[in-house]
Amino acid sequence: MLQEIIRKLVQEPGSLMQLQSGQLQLAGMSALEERALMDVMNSRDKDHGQTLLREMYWC
Amino acid sequence: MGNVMSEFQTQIDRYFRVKLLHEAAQAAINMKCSESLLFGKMTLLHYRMFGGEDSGIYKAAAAVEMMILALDIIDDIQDEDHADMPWCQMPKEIALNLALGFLSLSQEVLMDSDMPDEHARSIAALFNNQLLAAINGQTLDLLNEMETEEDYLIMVRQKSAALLVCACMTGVILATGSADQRVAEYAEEIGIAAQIKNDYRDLLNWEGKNDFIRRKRTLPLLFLLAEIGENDRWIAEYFAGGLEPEDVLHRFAEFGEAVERTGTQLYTSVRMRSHYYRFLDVINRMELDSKWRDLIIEAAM
Repeated sequence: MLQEIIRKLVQEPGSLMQLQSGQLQLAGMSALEERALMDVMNSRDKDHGQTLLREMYWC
Repeated sequence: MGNVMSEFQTQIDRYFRVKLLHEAAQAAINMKCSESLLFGKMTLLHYRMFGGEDSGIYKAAAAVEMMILALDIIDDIQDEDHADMPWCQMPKEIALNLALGFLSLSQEVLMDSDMPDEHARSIAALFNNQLLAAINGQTLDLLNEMETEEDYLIMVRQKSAALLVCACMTGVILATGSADQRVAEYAEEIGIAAQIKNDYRDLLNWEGKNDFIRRKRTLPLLFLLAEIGENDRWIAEYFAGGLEPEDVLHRFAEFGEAVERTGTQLYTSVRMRSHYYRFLDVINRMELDSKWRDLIIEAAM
């Protein structure tokens, strides 16, 4: 479920690496949610260092 | 969109006969001119995309925008925000009459158009159904009793998405004579994604209306409240009414850190983007002229 995955990502430093290497279990998420999560995480990497009020990762 | 605005002008000159009301309407449409007119644009785009070629579509697009303008005025009166809008700078009773005037005018413009009677009846029924859905959704929003994300989505589908469905479907019905459920499906996804985006903006906008300060039960706030730790208990305490605005207004930086730390921004982004991808998924499966499809996608962004 997305909520649990997000919790894991913000609480466990190693989980991002697991996600990017495909090792993180994404049970209960639809293919579209998985795609959205991966895209948002990739956008975050590129945007690192900007302020909190930066644009949302719209599309 | 110039044709749509000139339709607006013609109609207010014709029906808003009292000087004060006409001036109020003029100020409102001048404000409209400076905005994107997304709803009317969606009506036009869908009409063209589904093969419509008649110039009468501008009346229908104007009718859609009049309804949206009426609801914007009512929403601002109810929420007591957007103080810079012209209708917020006039007495409430006049602003209410102005909203009623635009709502009635939207129906009048539809009935007065050259479209076939059958289409006019279908569009009038669509307007009424979607407007009633929006009124129900707005009431749920005002009650602010959403406990779960499911409650939130029920409210948003009615309050926001129903109006976008109305705008898009008006163009489809006028072009083809019947509704297309795939359009309803993807328009709803755009509406939900846009509302989530607005709600995230209003979570961190500490200058104007802020949903946290107003204790609004939006998707990002429901997530934040579910995820905060012991150090952020003041957020839950304020939300429950245990603290006053002056107790928390100076804590913007701390609030922002909690939003980041809990993954609220991340979660909201993924949810919003998931709805956007559902919209793309539906529209890409339809056999549409790519030129029009790309314009719809561009407008939705």
